[in-house]
Amino acid sequence: MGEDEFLEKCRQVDFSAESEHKREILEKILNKRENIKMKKIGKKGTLVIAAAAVLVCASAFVYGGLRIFKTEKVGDYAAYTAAEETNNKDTSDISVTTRVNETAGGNYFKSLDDKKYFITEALLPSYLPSGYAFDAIEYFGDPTKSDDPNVNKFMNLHYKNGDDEIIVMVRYMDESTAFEFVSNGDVTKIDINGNEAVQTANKLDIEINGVMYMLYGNDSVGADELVKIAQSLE
Amino acid sequence: MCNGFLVFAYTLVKCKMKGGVGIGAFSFEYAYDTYYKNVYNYVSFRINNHFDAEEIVSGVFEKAYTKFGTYSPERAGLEAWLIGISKNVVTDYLRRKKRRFFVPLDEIFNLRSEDATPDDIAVRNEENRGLIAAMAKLGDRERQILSMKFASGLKNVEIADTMGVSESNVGVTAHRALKKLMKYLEE
Repeated sequence: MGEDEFLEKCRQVDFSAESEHKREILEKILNKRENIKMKKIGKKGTLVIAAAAVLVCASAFVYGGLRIFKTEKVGDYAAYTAAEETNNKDTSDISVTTRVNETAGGNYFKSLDDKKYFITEALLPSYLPSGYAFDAIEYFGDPTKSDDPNVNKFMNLHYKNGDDEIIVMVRYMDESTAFEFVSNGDVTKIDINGNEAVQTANKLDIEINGVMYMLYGNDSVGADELVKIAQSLE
Repeated sequence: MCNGFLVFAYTLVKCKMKGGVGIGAFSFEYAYDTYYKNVYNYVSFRINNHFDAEEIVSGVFEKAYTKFGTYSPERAGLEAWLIGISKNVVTDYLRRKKRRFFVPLDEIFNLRSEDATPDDIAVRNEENRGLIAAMAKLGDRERQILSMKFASGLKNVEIADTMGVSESNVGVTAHRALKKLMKYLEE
């Protein structure tokens, strides 16, 4: 037997089948942390929190414009919370494109046909801002293997115009992929073609048939363009 | 305010790129479900004690939950991060127990499989016991590196980062350790 074959055989050994308390361990960890948090708060902490709550409510009343923890839900598995309202509507300073381009680690496929590996039918935008074209589909892992079903629940669609990029993160929504997004900017719920969507600064999330499409723009692709892209998903 | 959003969005994107999902309690549950098997196998290869393995794995994920807020996908993938915590927890365990790697000869592995027949399981148990007995003959670093290679999908560069050694060191050590292991199993 060769070394590679031997290594592969050893990798198939799975001791975790012996584990009988996987769920109990998780519940214990989650409950324990909650109990510790509650204990640490204590009487003194409770008074401090109560005082802070009164102060915040008073401030909200006085200033009138402060909103805390406004949460919008999109579908059953996504929530968006605005921690603070802002009057700054100018999104030109906000850009996530460069940061997104710096990420690494995905598997890239150059054909739109490779969206077939996504767990369900995924829509594609028929509208793109001028100069943008499809570049690649990115999966986080090998979508052609079926040993990890979660790999097929995430897919990034990359569209490029020179160095500028629009990314559409496609995410199958269920219990395992549920999330809460906290923004310290506005969170605005809108309707696009009868589907629920949320706008935050330079980002638009829309859920269609249980799949979340998270559109990231850049300096030159703002909210209006993202709405057009979302409207064109078919 | 804008910078705060940028940092958060960047973190969210990075978490997703590295396999993390969402934020908050949902992310931890995903990490737990996805990598429980890898962590359990790593711990088992290192300590070979079914009764303590679950307790150690519990300790690993408890530590991970505590530190989840400080996890940075820029520094390491989620799996590599968890294996790194596992390494430290196992080291602490072995130090506390003050004993070297041992094989409980009267322990029987009962690997459940829907497809396996009792004969398959008996054969697999014997092979696994032989594998674990052979692992016991390796040096500590060799065993650590092979445990990571067997139990996880970590590349040599990630193993090197977790252990604080060079990538070439990992490659050479793994190659030599595998050859030794194969030789021990043939004996």
